Amino acid sequence: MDGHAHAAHSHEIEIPYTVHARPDTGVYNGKLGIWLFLASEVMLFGALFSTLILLRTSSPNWPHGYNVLMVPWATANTFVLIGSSVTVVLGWAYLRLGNLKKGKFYLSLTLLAGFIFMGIKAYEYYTKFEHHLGPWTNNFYGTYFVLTGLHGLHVLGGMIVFAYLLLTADKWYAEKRDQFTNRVEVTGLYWHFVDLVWIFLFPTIYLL
Amino acid sequence: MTEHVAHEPAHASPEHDSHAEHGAHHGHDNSPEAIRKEIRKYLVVLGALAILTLITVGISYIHLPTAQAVALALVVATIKGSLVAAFFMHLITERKLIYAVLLFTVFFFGMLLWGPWHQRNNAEKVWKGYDLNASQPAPKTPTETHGSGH
Amino acid sequence: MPPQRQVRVGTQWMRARDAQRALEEAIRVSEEESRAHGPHESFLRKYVFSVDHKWIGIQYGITALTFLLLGFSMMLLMRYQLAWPGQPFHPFIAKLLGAANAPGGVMLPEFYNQLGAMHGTVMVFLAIVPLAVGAFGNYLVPLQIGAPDMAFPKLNMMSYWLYLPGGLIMLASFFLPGGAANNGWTSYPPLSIIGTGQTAWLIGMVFLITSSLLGSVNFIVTIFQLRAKGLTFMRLPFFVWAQLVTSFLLLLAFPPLEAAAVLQLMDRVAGTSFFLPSGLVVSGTPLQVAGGGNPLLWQHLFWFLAHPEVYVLILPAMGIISEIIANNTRKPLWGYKSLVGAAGFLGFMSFVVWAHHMFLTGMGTAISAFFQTTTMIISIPSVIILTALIISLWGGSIRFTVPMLFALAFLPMFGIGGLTGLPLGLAAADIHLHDTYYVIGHFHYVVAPGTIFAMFAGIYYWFPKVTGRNMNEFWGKVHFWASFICINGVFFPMFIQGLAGVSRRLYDGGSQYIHAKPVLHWNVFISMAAFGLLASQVPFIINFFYSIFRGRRVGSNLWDATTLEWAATTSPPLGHGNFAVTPVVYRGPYEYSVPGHVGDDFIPQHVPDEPQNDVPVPAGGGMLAAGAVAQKES
Repeated sequence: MDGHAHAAHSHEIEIPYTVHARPDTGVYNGKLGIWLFLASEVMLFGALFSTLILLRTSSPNWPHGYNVLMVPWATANTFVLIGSSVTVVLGWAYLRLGNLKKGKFYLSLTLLAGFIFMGIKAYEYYTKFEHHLGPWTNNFYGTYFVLTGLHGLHVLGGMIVFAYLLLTADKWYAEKRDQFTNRVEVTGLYWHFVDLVWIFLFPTIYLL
Repeated sequence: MTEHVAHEPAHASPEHDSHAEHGAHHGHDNSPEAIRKEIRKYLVVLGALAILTLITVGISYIHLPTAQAVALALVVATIKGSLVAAFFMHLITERKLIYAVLLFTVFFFGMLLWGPWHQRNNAEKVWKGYDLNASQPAPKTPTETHGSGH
Repeated sequence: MPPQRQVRVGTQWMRARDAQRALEEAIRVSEEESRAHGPHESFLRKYVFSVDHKWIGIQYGITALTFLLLGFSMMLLMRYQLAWPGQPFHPFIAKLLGAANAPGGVMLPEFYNQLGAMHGTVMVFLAIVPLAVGAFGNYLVPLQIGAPDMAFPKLNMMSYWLYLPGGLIMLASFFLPGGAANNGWTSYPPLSIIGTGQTAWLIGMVFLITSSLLGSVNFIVTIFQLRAKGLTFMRLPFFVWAQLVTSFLLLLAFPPLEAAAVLQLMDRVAGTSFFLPSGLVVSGTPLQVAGGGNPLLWQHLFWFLAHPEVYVLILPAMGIISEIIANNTRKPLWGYKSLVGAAGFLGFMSFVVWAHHMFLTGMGTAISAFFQTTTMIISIPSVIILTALIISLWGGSIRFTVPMLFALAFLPMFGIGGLTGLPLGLAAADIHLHDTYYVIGHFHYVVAPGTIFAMFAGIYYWFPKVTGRNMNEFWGKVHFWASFICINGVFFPMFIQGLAGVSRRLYDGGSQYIHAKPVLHWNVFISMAAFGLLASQVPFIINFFYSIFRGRRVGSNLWDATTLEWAATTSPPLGHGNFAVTPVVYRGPYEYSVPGHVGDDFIPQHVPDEPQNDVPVPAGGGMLAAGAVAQKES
């Protein structure tokens, strides 16, 4: 629609390149937007990792994560999150193949994985609080709760978006298929990033 | 003259709609064969990630010296992260624009880790007795309190 | 105005003029049609939760100007106390402040600290940045690049509606028990963690940071994706470049502060000790926390944002000044490419200078040397920009309009602000100058007669764009000269006080210190100048509101500007959607007084070189030629 006149006064104005890639940049708006957002997320978690490194290297008696945290449950959670990353791309792939049913199935699996992850996380937190261990205990628990907590909030945010996508899938797919597929792709990019953060959080907090 | 402009908006959208039918220009190959191939690739990556997860957990049970443990854990995590970024986030086929953004981000990320850490490390060497972060319990009496960090 | 400004029939200039008129007529007709038949937006959608970048820009502008006035008032209260320590306020003001803050009309030290912290916070995060980026950026970027709106209109709306609550939380904190934050705008721990008022500040900051993250994503995507056909990167107005670099700074520098704010919030509410070292004693009682934290970590994370933030404050100002200088000298900017390169380099370098705020933390010579070096390097692009702007004046037939006066004043003011920063960037000199009034003088010269003057310039320049009416020229000039004199009266003596070693955080203005005695008398002078500055704003405020309703109606392009926001659309612009006809761009942004051309002394960006045929082409209606324009990326 670039270079063409359009109605200036229509209620819903049309923004160029929401669906299709702009030829010279090669991306559509949403994709560039999500990557920029992820870049800012890199800096957010960068600051948190910087905190973790500084506090840990400063402390003479930082506990080993494997001695105080529940490694098996966290390992399970790693598998859950990695699995959910695969289900997102599979869902996206099937949507591009024109298979809405399978697409929705895999998106539902992703949402389910989110619930399992948060469930296990909640159980981990519960066992700590039960023993009166909280962020106030020491900086090990402080970083543990804040880093995994913020990561958990990101998981929760992703789950909300997936739930929204699933609820509106039929309508969107029927009316604006490409845009819907794009939305799944963009949400997927975010979800993979959350997975990626966990891939670094898991060894640095639980295994070292 | 006036009518020219006023009527321009009327025939704006049809062109766009016809464009939409041709499938998205994601920078992805959207042919069914290509997508099926992609799906197989995703499953292979899943396998690799699972194995690497087991490896990293396995290493942690050996209780290596800290430096080696950290190095190994970060190497494995970096490989896993790269797999996710390259294939799931299809960064491997992404546009230059995205690379440029990420390149800057990675550099600044590095600065962010380096700054505080370097200062602490340096201070420890230069200022003998610099022990701002010693996790000792708070002293009982106010008189012994200055010292750390000053 | 240049003498060759008659319109001659038969030249393309005539066509451009005709085209402009035709465009306006077409727009008028289509507006009438839409008024008659078009869907009516609800009041909420149109004025409150609007997704139109222009209205959001206006919302940002009005809110930010209000905060600017509030932040200024806080400073005036402090200036009164500094000039006449212990003297009671006028009973009316005393009543306004309340007995809790100023018993008997005399300000309490605690309240002074709150005002100090909140003045900084309000000015930086709630006034200048939202004005420079939220208001000017929002309103102008889509218009200057020929886009119908921002790339994500709803996100844009959300970004305003996160900013406003963030600001209100900050203000409301004055009324909470314990008052507002009182640890300086830098909020250094451990004081900020054990003190009062900080929690609301942190929550407000999380809102503000989230708002500017959404905004910056939106700006970058808009500039990359929605440029009109033919508008390559090297044809962008410098203002758009400045906004682009600014957005990258906001995008990548703010998240570390968001993380730090969350950590400090946890320290305050969840009992963690990220920033609390072991063995801390408060008022004789050991603090009951785990300890082991690092207060310097906060300084690193804070300045990792706050140094780029300085460039967030100055870059949009430079963008505004460039537009105004090119337009009012009637010649192209000198060294456009160097300007763009310098802005980019400035943005990059601003990420690697942050620890020059921390020379006195004892961080060691190696790291100090590194940050001194980068700090000296970053002055180079600033000098390039300033030099290019000054050389741009050379040989121009300058129109001394009100915006141009502010723009001209910006140049030496920013120069003073920048040059006085050099001694602060060198650790040896900084040992003496750190935390003195010299620092205050330095950064206020950059931000107040620098950025705020640029904001005024922008307001006077684009006011006709937004309202279709011009502001009064005479009162504008009164506003300018009075402000210019007073603002120098406020900030210049601060250098003198600072060099004498007067600390910036003294409630009594330094009257207890012998070394401050010889320069203490300046306190009264500075405060008088500050009240003069307040009085100087009265003509502006009246002029502003009067002109909205009663200002002289002006044509769409009263400054004879070349950029799309003036040339390719009406003033005020159309409703949502901006352009009746999407413009196509054929040339660079500053084609003023092009040699060899007769007629007007400017060629708008969207006017093609060669006429298509004998019939005048509507402005921006070069769709026929659209295919001929190479999509060349720079």
